[in-house]
Amino acid sequence: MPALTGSEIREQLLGYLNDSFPLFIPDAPDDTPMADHGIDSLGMTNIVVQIEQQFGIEVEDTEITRANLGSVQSLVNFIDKKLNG
Amino acid sequence: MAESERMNLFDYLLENADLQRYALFEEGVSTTYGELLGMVEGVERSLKACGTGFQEKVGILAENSAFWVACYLGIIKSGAVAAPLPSRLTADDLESYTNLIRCRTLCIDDRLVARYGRLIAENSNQVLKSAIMPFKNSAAAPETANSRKAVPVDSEKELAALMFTSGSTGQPNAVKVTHQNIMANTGSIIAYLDLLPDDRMMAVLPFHYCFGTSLLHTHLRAGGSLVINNYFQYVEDVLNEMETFSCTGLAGVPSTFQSLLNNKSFRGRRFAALRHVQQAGGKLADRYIEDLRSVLPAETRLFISYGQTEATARLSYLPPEKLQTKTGSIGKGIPGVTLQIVDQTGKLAAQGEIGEIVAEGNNVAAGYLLSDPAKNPFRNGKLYTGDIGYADADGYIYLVGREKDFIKPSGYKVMAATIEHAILEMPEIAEAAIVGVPHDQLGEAAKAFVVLKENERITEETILDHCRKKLPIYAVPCGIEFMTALPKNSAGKVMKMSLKTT
Repeated sequence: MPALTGSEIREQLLGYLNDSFPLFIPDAPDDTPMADHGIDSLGMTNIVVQIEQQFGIEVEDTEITRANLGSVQSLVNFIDKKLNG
Repeated sequence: MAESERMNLFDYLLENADLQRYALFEEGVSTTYGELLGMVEGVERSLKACGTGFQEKVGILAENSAFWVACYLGIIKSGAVAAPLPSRLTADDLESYTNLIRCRTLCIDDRLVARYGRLIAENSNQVLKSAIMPFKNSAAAPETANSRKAVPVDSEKELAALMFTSGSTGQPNAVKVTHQNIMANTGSIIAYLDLLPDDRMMAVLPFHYCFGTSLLHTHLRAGGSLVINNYFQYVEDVLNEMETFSCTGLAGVPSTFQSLLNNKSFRGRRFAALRHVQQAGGKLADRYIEDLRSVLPAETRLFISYGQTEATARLSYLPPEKLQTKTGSIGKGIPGVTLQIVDQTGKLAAQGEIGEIVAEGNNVAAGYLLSDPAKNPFRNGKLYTGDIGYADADGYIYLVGREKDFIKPSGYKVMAATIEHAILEMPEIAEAAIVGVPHDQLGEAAKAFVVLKENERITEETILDHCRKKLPIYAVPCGIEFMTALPKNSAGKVMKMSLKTT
């Protein structure tokens, strides 16, 4: 499978977030904190499980940080780095 | 009236503050006690400009922050009543809280103004974070700060705060907490934890929740400090900050420790500075307590405790040295608190007999804001906690469950906690919650919601087999639903109402 580009990752991720979180604001800037999208720790757990499955990556416990998962932008970068090195 | 009876909680909390020392750390930014008092002065001035009256309710709507703490202290110092609101609700959910207190003045983080715009009445006064932060740099000179005492109050009668009950069972209510309630509870907690000026707490619990506020009260009174982290979902950041800031204390509810124990990074750390860990806010399953004890450094003292918003915060604790001989116990009353078990007729229960836990002490709050005589737990100066338990031969108390949290399959009363604990004995399971659902044969049956530990696989049938061995047949769940996590409120409590509707 050819690797996904950053913008494809973003598109898939936004689709999932928009479908799964009723308070998700699709047109908010990508650096908006997840908490402002109404995503709490339960939501975060779901997101980790989802991106592991959807993108076939593994998220280590030591990677559960705001720098990696704190916003759409950081999530896209994080997944991109996992997939494309 | 003696001067001590006129003491404002503010003067008590700041009595041991060294203005040069750090009080708070937040996202890498420090706030000294001197800077904090500068901000408190800013809040006082704003409240005065709004014409805030003595004992008037003032709302606080912000995440844990130096701003939050300055507002809380400034409101109390002015003789007004702090009403900390939950900061992570939707506008619809928050409305039931704002309707209850109907504040004329609200201290609010500018970032939240847009989200809650429609709840903020057009003619209401706002004390904005952006207006208070500049006062941090105009920290009052030590001599003037110390001379500015708080408005005297009748500490036994007058209120310092309105603390919301979690509302997991329906509409929220607020508990009327007096200046004396908080002073009494704070003094007792400091005494048994031996808190010192160099103590530093990792505060992940929200300050609008009484357990979180108790961390703030005790560490301010001790002249210590707190590291604020509002993002426990990013566990690795919290663990890094605990080490970077050499935190001496960590406090959490059961879900906090369940998350930590399922995290490999937590298990691999040394926490060289950690002196104590506090667990309250519900029963942590025995095997988690044992696991936590084995993971923590030997010199870290682990305090299992129990409390309620209606009792300001804390009611009992189990001394760390009793953890092995009295596993599963919530201990005995903290200094100044008497706990008794009473049976349904109101008489003292015999040793080992199950009954309601009744508390007496200066931390028992003045009552509810909305009093409903039909369910008033404040009776004859005592607090009828609604929690069910028993005491052993040495007087150590064991919780059985919440009075209201039971199901009645075939007419038998079964505490939800009994079934949850049976399921949690299985090592593959991280979390479990039981709710009652309508059932054709039993009338009501238990339904289990379980979260498996990472990389564990187990079938519904295996769990049910285990339950059949451990429980009476009517208490065996009629079904198991697997989840990635249980829905929890900001205090980390499982929201069973939302499970019932899934």
